[in-house]
Amino acid sequence: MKDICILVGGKAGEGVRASGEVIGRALNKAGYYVYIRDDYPSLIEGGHNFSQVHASVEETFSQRKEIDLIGAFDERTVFEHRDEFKSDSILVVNSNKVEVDSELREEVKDVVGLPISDWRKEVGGPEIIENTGFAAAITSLISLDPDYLNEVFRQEYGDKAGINISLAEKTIGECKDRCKELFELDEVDEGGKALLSGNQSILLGAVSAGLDFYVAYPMTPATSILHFAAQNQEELGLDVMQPENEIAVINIALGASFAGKKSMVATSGGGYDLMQETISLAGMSETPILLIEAQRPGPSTGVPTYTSQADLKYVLEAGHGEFPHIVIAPGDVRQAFYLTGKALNHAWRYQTPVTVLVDKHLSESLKNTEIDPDKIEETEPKKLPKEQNNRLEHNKETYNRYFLTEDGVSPLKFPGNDVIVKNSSYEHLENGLTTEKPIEVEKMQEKRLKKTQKIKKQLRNEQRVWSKETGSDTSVITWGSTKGAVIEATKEIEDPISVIQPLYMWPFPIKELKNKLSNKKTVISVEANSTAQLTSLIKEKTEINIDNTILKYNSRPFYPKELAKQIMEVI
Amino acid sequence: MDEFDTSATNTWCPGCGNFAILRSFKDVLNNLNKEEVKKEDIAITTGIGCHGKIFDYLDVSGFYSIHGRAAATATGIKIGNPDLEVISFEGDGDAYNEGISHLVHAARRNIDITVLVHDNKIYALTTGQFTPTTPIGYKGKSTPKGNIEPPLNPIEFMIASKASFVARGFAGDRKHLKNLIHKSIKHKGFSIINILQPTVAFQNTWKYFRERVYKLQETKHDPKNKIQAIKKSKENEQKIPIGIFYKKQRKTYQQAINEQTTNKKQNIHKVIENLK
Ligand SMILES: Cc1ncc(C[n+]2csc(CCOP(=O)(O)OP(=O)(O)O)c2C)c(N)n1
Ligand code: SF4
Repeated sequence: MKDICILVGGKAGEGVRASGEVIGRALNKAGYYVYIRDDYPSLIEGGHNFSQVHASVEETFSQRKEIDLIGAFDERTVFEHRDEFKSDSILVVNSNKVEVDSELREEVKDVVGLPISDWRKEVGGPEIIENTGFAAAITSLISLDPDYLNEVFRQEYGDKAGINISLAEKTIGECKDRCKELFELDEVDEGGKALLSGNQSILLGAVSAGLDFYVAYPMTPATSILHFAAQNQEELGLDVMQPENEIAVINIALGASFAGKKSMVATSGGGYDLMQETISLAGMSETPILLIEAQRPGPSTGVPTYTSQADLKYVLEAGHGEFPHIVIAPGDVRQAFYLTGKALNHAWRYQTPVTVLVDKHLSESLKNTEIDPDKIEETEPKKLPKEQNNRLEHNKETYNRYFLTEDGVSPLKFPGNDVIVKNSSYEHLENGLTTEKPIEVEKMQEKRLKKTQKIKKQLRNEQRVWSKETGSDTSVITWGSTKGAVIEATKEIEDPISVIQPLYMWPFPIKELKNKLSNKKTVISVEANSTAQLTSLIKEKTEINIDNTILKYNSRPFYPKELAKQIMEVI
Repeated sequence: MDEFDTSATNTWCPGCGNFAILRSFKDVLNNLNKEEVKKEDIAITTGIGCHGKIFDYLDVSGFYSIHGRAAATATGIKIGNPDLEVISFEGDGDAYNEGISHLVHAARRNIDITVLVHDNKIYALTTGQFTPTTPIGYKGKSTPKGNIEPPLNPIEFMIASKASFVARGFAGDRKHLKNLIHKSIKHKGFSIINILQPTVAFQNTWKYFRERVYKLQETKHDPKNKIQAIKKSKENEQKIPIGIFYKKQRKTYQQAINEQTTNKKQNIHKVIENLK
């Protein structure tokens, strides 16, 4: 078979997520393409968590609902996912904890009951490692070489891997004999790809572009950036800080940027709300800052551990007053890596706030891909002409933080380097001192406008739209993480329809979209919100009407098959 | 005109206590200069209010921040460049209302910055409403029948927040104030001076304070004694002590970080390798 969909499920606290990740990592080592989505409610123990692992010989961009292989830690998992089982599914249960009724045994190909708790006691480990037993059972049922699994254990658990390896050996030895038939995935070459989440990718992209300082307050789904940064702080050469609230986060970050350190903050909608006033300050004071907004369903606390794309229009309007604010929306881990690198560079080149807009589905889902830090170049901020710099260093001239230039971008220097640097939230003169004179106010507003024009012009050279053109006159337009399900859905449809994904939300790729959409007879937009925000943005910017919208706003991501059906209905 | 002046026109009301703070600070800068702290190695942050205008009157690097956030901005600057001497000028509205959280946590983590609060006991720039340090009964435009909220005691509050240097100054005693500011900047760790700053426009307190202030250093007060410091902080009716209430040397935020991250060496390829 070419691909397989695995689901492991159980209670929060039982290591479900880790189990899914171990399975995915073993498959990644074997060379398969992997996509992992975690589903968990907002609680610490109990409830129902599950992890969907989709592995394929071809690149995959999404989880799938139809399950081939299920690992049920508890009875609720069997019950919750029953309508996702197929007649050829195999169900693995811990027979010490789960009983399977005879009706279900009829519905699926096989139910493999394994006394995982007994085996765990035999090898003498804590209850939590039963998740390892499941990972071992599942990988053995797809005939994966156990070496891959053991390698993952050693990598993830280091010195403590031994106990996991023992339980895995026991499980694998027993498992195959108890199963009627195994799955056989087509062979592939061993892989060298990194399997990582959108959040990890974001941080690595930023570090590749020279990030010095990461500041954040915990908020799902951005929190794992903070964890990843803190865990790898030394090797990433980062300062990492968790201050008292999001207002502190962004003001501390801005202070550090002013002192010359490339800074980044990340949060979700609620935290981003708190940062508004300082986004405006960054715009006025022309202080570079990179923000990550990882959306979750609102308004307000909403559905904290699930996904949504409802903050697009809001983020575009962030902060009071008029100033340039670049907004970029990657749709997969690879884009997240390279576009975050670009985003940090934009912030420093144009000395203005830049937001990377993602969502839980991209932030927390894992996908394997190739990323290369050396392909991201670091932008140096605009320098003073050498001669002028000399005069400055010899105290013959003073530095004007807001020196008026043709393109509105001033040369950037930092305090502590023999210069006086005055940054201000007030309207200011070129030297940074306060002004309220109409003519000066107008001049500075025009400076910021010039910068806006410069950004619009220069970023035309960037790839601002991703697309998969098939020559079809039907196209789906989508954005952010929803791109993944759209690509997978088009694989289900016989007509090879095109997919278009704008990457830049500001400056909006008006010309590119007009070009790509003008020759299409049918355009369908797919978004995870209830008001079709991208659709209305396109209308506002390009005057193109998109009549067909497929919207989902139940806090769960799109699934390829159901989406394919909806697309077919439109066509 | 001295080397710390700028071209900005001063718009404070004649007789305002802010002038004395500005003068004292410039004197300190001159002293620091002699001690080889270059003027370029100073960075200030300011909140928004009458006090914030000091940004325009000082030819040193700085960030004119937003209302309440100057301590957070200062924290970021210090982390961004630990070699800078970072001083944050804030109003009492700024520090103890809008941005009170930043003050508490900057103190607690002992980041090596200095906060100078221009405590005029009102929001001056927005025309005289009450703040957390306004006495009960004060009649302002938003409290025509008199303020009903009991004031906060900044000294006690900052000691409780684990600030490692807590002092009170008075704009009416410039020599004393200058000395205090100098000591607070020299202090390694978080330092704060609550400066009694009479505002002539709303409640002229020059006379009131002149009659009451006395110097802690002239008493037997021991700034290392926390209990005594808190006791002293409660003396604020008939007699008002000025000077250093509490001072303790303890590990700064930077020192703690340096102890933890001894091996900062970038190797992103290794991090990516671990994800393969
Ligand atoms: C977020 C925000 N809220 C309100 C204001 C309006 N405002 C400007 S100055 C000020 C009060 C200043 O009082 P204080 O900090 O005590 O400084 P002072 O003017 O007394 O020196 C206020 C409320 C503002 N600038 N920003
Ligand atoms: S209003 Fe008060 S604080 Fe403001 S400048 Fe005048 S006297 Fe000073």
